[in-house]
Amino acid sequence: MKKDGRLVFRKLVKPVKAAMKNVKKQNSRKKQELNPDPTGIRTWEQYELSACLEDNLQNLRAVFRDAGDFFIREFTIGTNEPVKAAVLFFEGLNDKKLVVDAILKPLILEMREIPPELWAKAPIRVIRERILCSTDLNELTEWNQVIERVLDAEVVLLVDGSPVALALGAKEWEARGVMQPENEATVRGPRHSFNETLRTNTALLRRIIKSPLLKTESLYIGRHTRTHVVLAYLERLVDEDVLAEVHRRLSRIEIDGVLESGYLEELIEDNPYSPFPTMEISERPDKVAAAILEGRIAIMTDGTPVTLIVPTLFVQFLEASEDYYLRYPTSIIVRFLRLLVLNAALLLPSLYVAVTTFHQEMIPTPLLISIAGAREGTPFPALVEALLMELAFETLREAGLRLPRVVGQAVSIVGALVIGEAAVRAGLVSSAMVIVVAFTGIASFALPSYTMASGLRLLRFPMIIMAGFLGLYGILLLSLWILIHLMSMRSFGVPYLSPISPSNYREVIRMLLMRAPWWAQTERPRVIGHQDSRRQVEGLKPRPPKR
Amino acid sequence: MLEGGRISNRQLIFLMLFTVLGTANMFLPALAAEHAKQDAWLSPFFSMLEGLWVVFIITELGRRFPGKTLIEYLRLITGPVLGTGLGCLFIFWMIHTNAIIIREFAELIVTTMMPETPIIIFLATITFTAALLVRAGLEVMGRTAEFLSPIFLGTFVLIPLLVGEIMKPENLLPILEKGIKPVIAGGLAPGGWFGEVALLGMLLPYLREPHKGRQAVALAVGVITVNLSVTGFAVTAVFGPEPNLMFPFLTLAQNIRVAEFLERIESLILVVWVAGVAVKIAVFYYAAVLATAQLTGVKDYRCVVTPIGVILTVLAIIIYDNIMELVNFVARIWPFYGPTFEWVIPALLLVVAIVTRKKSPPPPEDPDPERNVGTH
Repeated sequence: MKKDGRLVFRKLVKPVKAAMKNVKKQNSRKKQELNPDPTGIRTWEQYELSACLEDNLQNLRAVFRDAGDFFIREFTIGTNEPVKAAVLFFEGLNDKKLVVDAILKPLILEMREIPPELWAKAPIRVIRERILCSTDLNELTEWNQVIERVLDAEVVLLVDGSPVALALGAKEWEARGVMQPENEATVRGPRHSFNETLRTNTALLRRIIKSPLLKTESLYIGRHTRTHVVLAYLERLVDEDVLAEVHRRLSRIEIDGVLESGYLEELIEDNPYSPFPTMEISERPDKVAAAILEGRIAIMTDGTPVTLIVPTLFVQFLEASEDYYLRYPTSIIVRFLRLLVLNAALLLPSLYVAVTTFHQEMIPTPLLISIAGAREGTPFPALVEALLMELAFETLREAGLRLPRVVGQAVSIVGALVIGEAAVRAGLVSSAMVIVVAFTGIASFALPSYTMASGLRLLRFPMIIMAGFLGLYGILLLSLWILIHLMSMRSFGVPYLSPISPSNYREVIRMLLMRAPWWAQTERPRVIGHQDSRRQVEGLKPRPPKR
Repeated sequence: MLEGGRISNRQLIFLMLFTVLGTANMFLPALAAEHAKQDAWLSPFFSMLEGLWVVFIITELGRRFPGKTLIEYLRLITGPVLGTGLGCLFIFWMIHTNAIIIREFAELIVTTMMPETPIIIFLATITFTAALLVRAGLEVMGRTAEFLSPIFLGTFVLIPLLVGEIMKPENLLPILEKGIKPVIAGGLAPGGWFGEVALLGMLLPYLREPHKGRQAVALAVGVITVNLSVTGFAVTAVFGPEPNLMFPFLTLAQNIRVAEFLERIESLILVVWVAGVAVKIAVFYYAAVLATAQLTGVKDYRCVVTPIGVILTVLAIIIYDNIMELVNFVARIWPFYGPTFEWVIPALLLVVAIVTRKKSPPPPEDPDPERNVGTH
């Protein structure tokens, strides 16, 4: 019997093991198959440009075959002894007028004024220093550089007889202008936002911080997209360890494309399984500048107005840039409100479920009677009711988000009337539940950070389920788990919950509970700007002059 | 080293606070009142002496063996064979005590808040919560304690204040009616609770400033004493000298009536208390896990968390048949069982260490681990 059993077992196990091996093999093969250079640019690395223009052009035509938007404009440089030359560019990425005025016209028409002996000595130097009227000019000698520059929307000039190419920056394409921030509106404060062009964004930042210490390091990520990513920070203020860590994490990314900063966020964050964001996002130059002035690092990605800010603390998600522009007593009240709202967005429906199902004694009698009256005849237990209503609310929100603006209004009317009014009147849900869910929804919109609000929204559902099964105890359990999770989180080495924990009571008051008036904000946040903690001199508090 | 994190002295104070107050607040007033009657509020001051004695012994051992935990110097002092045996006993004590605590907690929740839910739910969930804390490491435990302490202590200060209007101070008279003896007897059982600060022996090497550990824990003992005394005072003043209540503090919370709105908030109080108990269980759990890891020599203590968690849950189920048996154990046997491990054995160890002149050199300094970039 025993032997048979073992035999059968072995028979069962063998195919499984074989299958596992296959899977493992496939996995390892996949890893090897990942082509580090699918574009083939790197294979050109060791090759230098040829002195013969015809050879070079032939090579280029081979590289960019079947690329309909690639253009080679061949012409003759108008010296006494004509020299062949060619301009390479991609259609639609350059300022055509500039190409004609700054490259073609002078080369074809104005060369006669150059002394022939100078020209014969060093043609490329003459072109660079005397002919081309361009601010952005580079000499290239290697093939891969040429290909990269052309792909990066520059105009490359090749001249027969010299193994050197000239790359001119004449980038111009159709782009959105600098507009108002759509997701971070303010009453008081600057009204411009980043757009999809990285250079515009860095310029916006440079216009705010005119310091030689503001560094903007460039990186190119994505094997196909070669997305330009810029790290912006203030030297001497930034924590070198954090900066090195950002570099390390960005440099290990091997992906074919980065279309939005969200790709980067998920590839470099500390806690990939957490519902809480560990990076702040903003499209406001002033907000990013404020973060940089505190010693943080901004990660700007080409092609998106959304900039990542690291390291980020939990309390920052309760701040809006406007807090620092409005007068401080208002901001302090708003801070307290947001703390309440944060808890409401997470806990309110589950508290309602817990109290009505398990702890009715906690409700004052008159209120209990009115709630019981409202729940009279509703078919579902509070747990199911809450989940249904939350789902309905989420559906409404999602529908309103994606629909064209004209239809969106119809959705909100139908939603409010059908879900709010008719469902209560038909006795499907109690009116108290509608109030609770509606308020929770509004509370989650009142949080300044959309990413944080979505994280909380996600946690609301397990919270309701815990409340439905274990009452207040369940809510506490899940809250404790969340707390432990938050406590163990870090954002680029900085404890996520600081200054609450590890606690710095002075900073808790200044960063979380209060918005200190500007004349009292003498220090930067300790965990981030500790390289140079003084923000301003003491004693800036204004007072009337003595008579 | 097994534990990479470090805790500050303030965090240690709060950890120790939770370690004792976690359950003491709920169970002690009744135990103290049994002997001391209306003088129950004086008993904690005698228990405090035992607590301070434990702190003295443990920190003295810590001073002789800097950078070493109880389990490590146990083997240094008594040799490998006896040391391992004693270490196993200590681990048994930690797990056994923790199982009792878990059971006490679950019994309280079932009797007062959720009578229809099977007890195993509470045993399992609270052990799971503690396991999460332990896995997260000592640093997170310390920070969690620090975060929870204002809420916890605030609640336990607020309640005696809120019942102020129904207090009858004459209930406390006459003071010391039958002399000091019953008061001391009332302080005996709580002494075992105070002695739980002996777990300091496992935490001391992981302090940022180990030489200030004694001060910190002594302060914690002081705060605990005041808290328990205030609770005893409020309970006696409201319910009289012989209340015959199982959880007097909770009954106190039930009697709160403020502004016609804040009524019957004992569920909320319980919820706050659960958070404290979770930390207490986690401290015991952590000590057991670390001790096991050090005794067996595994590289990462996280691998013992799950096995010990399972043992804890199962032990908590089978350890008693009913709550009266539990109360009996806590009142009759615990006053002798607890101190054996809390200070009798450590005191003997200290004597042996002094006689044989055993000491260990201070450990090498390590850099500030609060900001470890990239290690997660």
